[in-house]
Amino acid sequence: MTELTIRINKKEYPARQSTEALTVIENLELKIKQHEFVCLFGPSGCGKTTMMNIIAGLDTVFEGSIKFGNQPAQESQVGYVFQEPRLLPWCTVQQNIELALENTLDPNQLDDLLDQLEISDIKHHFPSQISLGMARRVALARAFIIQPEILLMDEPFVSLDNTNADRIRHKLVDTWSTHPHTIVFVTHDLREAIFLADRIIMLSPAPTQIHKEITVSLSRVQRTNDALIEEFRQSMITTR
Amino acid sequence: MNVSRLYATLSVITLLLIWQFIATLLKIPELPPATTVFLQLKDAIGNGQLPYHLGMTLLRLIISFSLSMLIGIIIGIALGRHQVLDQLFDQWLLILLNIPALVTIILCYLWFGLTEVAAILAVVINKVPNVAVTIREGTRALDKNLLEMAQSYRFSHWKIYRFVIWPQLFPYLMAAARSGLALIWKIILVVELLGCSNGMGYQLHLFFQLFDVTSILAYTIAFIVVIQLIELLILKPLEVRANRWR
Repeated sequence: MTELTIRINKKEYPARQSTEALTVIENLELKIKQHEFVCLFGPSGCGKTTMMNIIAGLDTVFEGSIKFGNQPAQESQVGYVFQEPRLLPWCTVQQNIELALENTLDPNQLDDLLDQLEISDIKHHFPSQISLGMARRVALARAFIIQPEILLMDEPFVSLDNTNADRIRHKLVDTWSTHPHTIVFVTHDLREAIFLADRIIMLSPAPTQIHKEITVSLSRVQRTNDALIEEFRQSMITTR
Repeated sequence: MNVSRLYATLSVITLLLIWQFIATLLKIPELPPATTVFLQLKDAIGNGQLPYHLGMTLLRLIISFSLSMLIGIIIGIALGRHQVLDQLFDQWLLILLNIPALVTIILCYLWFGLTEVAAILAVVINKVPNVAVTIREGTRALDKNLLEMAQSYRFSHWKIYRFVIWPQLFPYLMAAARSGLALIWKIILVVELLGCSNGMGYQLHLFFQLFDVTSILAYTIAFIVVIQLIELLILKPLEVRANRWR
């Protein structure tokens, strides 16, 4: 089993002229099992995005270590779905997805994936020609195509309407069940977290530490029932 | 023909008519009528003089333009991406930007003799700082989010330059190319006037000494036409192609 071990002893933003140094994360240690789906849940501004950037290797100025198995996590295959789709506007949908790959693409694999996400019709479109919901699915396709060992998702469905978001959530769970990989998913929507996660990590306000961990005991089938999700959410709130 | 092109054509014709009218009215050698100038232009093209000198100037233009763009882009990206370099060399750029073109030209001729290399070098030294400053601005304005995306997906250096940085720099590049072309034209003429034995600048100097206003105007028209052709046939199509995605 290749475990993802996140150890952040201290992450601070240095002092500027007008502001003092700010400690965002302190003494945080989290182990995530291989193929586990973990949601990070916490108030806004608690350093969730900072944490994701650290795991992705984009932010290297911190005390601690991020390991995947015995290797630094940066050396493993990481897919990152940002809050915004972050597609290259001058590349078509297909090019955007292909660019994430090191080698050339197997066309069948791409078509299957696009079919699954219901975006095959737009593969030759430019990002400016498609809706935000579609752009988000393209960003997902880009992350899936590299078959990541670790998939980081930072509130990827905010500003989508419910129906759209729900559909994409189902797609995400489907894809994850067929090609299992470790997922770290940031959200501030508890119902979303209950629907998606094996385990929910509740974070405290900055300096961020782990406030509580909750294993979601509902089966994948039970989670399609909104009433059960609501019931679970109520039980979480009352024991918080 | 669309409306804006119609207006453009009408405005050029109006200008020519005004010129013709005033010249006919004044009847002085200092301002020959447009018709005379166009006839002279036809002659100069016919006897091969104008194509030869214009060709020499264009050759110098292409070489010095390409060199200035290449060097300017490299310096601009380096300064835009590395703050320390920028702080070290910002003053150099400022000084170079403020040296009058004429001084660079004279110094190059004094140091390297009346050679082609000196002529090209003088133009390049004049132009590089402008390109570098524009590209530096472009590099500073690069979208950090897209760079992060590229980094998290482990894009190779080549991929980052080709697919993430280059398309964002392109508008700045076009701006540098346009202003560069306008500037280089003007400098090259002075360079030729001072130290070459062919080219448009050399010819204009000759006409000046002969007091041949008709030829000066004929060469100027040839000049304007060539610049417009470069804009229409090279720069515009490049821009259209690069902006397909918008």
